[in-house]
Amino acid sequence: MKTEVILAGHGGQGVLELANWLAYFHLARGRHVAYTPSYGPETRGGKVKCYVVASDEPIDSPIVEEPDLLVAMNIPSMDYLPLLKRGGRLLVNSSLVKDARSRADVTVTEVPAAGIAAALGPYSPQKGRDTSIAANSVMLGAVLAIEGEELERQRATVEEVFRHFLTERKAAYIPLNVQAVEDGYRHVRGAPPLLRAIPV
Amino acid sequence: MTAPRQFLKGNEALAYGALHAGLQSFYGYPITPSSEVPETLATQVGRPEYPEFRTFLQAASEVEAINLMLGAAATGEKTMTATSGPGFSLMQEGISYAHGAELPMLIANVNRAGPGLGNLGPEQTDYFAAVKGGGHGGYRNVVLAPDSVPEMASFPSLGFSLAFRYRTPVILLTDAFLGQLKEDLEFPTIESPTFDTPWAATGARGTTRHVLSSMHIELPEQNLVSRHLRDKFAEITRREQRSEELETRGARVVFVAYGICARLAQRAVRVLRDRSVPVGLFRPITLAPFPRDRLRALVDEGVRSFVVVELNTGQMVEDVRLAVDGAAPVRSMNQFGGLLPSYRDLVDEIGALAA
Repeated sequence: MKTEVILAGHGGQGVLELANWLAYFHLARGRHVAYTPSYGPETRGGKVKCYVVASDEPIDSPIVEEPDLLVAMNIPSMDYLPLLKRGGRLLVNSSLVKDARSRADVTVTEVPAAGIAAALGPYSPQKGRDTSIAANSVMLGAVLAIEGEELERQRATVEEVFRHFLTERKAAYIPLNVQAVEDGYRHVRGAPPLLRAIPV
Repeated sequence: MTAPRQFLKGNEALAYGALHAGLQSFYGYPITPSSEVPETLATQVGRPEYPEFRTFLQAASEVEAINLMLGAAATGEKTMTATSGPGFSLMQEGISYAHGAELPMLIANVNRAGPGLGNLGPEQTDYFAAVKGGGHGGYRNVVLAPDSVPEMASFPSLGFSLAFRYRTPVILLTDAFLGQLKEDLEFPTIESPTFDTPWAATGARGTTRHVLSSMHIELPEQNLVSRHLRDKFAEITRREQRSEELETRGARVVFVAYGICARLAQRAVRVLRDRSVPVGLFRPITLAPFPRDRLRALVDEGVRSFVVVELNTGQMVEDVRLAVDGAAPVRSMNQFGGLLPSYRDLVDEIGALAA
């Protein structure tokens, strides 16, 4: 098994974070992984592109030239569409990318990531915190669904991923992010979001 | 579930590798794409895991950093810095002085693109500056080139070993791609060797006075020192050439590549070998001393031509031509400006040659 993914968007969307989580998910599943970020000098808003390779075999080149999957978090990310492998998958954040143009030989999956994430909240009723920021976690769930992972059996792995990256005060947001992954996964599988009690 | 392997950036692995190798002090000035090295090390001062690491100092500039290292190295400390091209340029004077006074130190250059400020993409354009000596006075660096995150972790130890064995600055030459790349790894077991430094100027009570200077004002004295430096590098060249090969047995065409280009070439070799094309990869690990003996031997083993892949307009290709010495054609494949070649370009290039 080897999958090559390009994830793209703009600074502030959590694209690199999403790519880190995806790579670490595969690492926790015992696979070899390579993650390569590229970004401009801007603090926010610049173009972000990231390669993630996961493989059962050691990885020779970590450079993704013909991805199996393109995750397009914004409109400029569609510039990478010509690179997609024939028969590849295009995952679009339809909260930002409307009417995604595509290719005849590519399967498109649209996920309104910000909308799904916003519906999880407000996370803290007192503070009214907007949860649309968890759009990248929604997309992680969508990627796992597209890659054929069985989330029901990998819930512990997803939690392990977030425990690795969301430490100290960020750890309070692990349950929210796991829920966002679940809802993104369910959206791709054609299931409605779960109804849950909101933790306070 | 077994404990997951570690997941580290090349720059982070370099920092931890240096700590495991017994790093005592770091002096530097942050610059993309090398900044995760000081960022990581700054968090580790005073940690019980690394009792020898006592000094982290963000200098006012790279000029200050390299001069602080001259002082630290003169006491026999394991000292290092990490920078990228613009900072490496500023350090050249200090590196020259370190050669003149024979001070061991480790300097990591995470090569970014272009002269001047350039951009943040990967390049291998500092090959000449590192391998031929970017400063004045005709010194020769030892230059190591990792090609993976695990090697980013293990090469600082090798670098210190060579630096102290030969009392020389050692350059760890890597690129923006490997610095930023994260891979899974089993963190290698790293030795923290101790070295005899009878030459060191520690200032300790009861020790003799040592003067470590690069100034040899009498002409015959400088002549002797320069002869010594020449002979030292000749010995390093005899003893320390390192390289790695993939599928060179039976190969007619061989890629020569280091760093991220070696990874690209690995893929091209696998694709071509699957098509029964007899190609291989020769990867210099020491760019200086250049592993010329083994490269030249490949010609006697049947290699008919070489293709040098590098992220510059053609630098290492000159050393490959010197090593091969006309015994086989040497072609150059380049990409630069922060861009990378496609492995398919490599496949196409070789397909025609090996037919």
